[in-house]
Amino acid sequence: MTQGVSVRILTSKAVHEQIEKLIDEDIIIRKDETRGKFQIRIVDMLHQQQRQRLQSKVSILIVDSKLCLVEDLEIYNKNENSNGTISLATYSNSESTVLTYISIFETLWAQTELATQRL
Amino acid sequence: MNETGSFPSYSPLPPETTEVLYGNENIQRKVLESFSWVKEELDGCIESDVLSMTVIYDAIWNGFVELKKKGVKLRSITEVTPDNISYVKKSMDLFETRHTTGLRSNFGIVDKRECLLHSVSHEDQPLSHAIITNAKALVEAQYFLFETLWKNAIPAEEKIREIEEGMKPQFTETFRDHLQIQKVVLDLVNSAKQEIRMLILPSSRSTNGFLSEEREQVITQSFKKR
Repeated sequence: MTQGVSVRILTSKAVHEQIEKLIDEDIIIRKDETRGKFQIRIVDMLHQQQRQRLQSKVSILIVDSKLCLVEDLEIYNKNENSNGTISLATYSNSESTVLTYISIFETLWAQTELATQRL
Repeated sequence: MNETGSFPSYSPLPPETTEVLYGNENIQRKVLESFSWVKEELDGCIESDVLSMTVIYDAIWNGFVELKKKGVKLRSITEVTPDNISYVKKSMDLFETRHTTGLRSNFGIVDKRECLLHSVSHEDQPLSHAIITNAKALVEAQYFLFETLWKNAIPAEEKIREIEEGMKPQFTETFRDHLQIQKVVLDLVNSAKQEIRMLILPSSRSTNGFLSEEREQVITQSFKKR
């Protein structure tokens, strides 16, 4: 049963394909990409320069524009003895912090839309 | 007091000394003695139900007032509760105060040179036992403990607002435990009422180089929420 939450995901093409398999539905990456309220955009469409600026070792999750969790994936593999159990994440409800990550997300979201329109 | 009847202008304890004090009067006298020679800073941790004592006892309170006038930096950490909020507000007239939940410690550090730890019983003698020391290593260890608590504590004003106005305080936490992170991520996704935004890039964490099992769980949960 759906709950009416809008879900937007920015990710790579490879991850997108995996998500489609996972949820067993096609999510069309075009202007009409919306499938219900579940939208995915592909960062691979961005210019190379833009992609290089993107910190690829960080995952961002923002919920209801009120809470954010940013996970650094880099640290995970650095510790060979951790058996994959060490990570680093910051979790905040600070308005300024959440707004900063929203701004990053929305900028990338808009850029991928422009890139999609160029196709 | 010294032989001339006045308080010394420096710690009267011989170097590297640790003493045990008993009884209200002895402990209060030692505290007031310390007030006389403190020059730069007084840092203290006070349990929530002990804080009232520092405000109610005129001798102690007036001592703090004098220190403030001398320009001594006063910092305190306590647990702000609905019961002690009036005392906290009063102490904030003199002290920079921070809140930490569940604080269980009573001590004061003077100029990073002398430390007094005391226990409190709620019988006829509230200040029953204390340890005073100027042993460098012990004072440094206690000061390190104070600074660690200070860094992790939140401004008392925030906690007061939370209690009085029901405002949720702002927080930023760091997690290093992978399982804890995963739990927070799933709880966050499940708590969403309006919108979820995610930036997920290929992680070297997963065996297939893309989505880890944990991420798969997050995606499927998000998909159910749409």
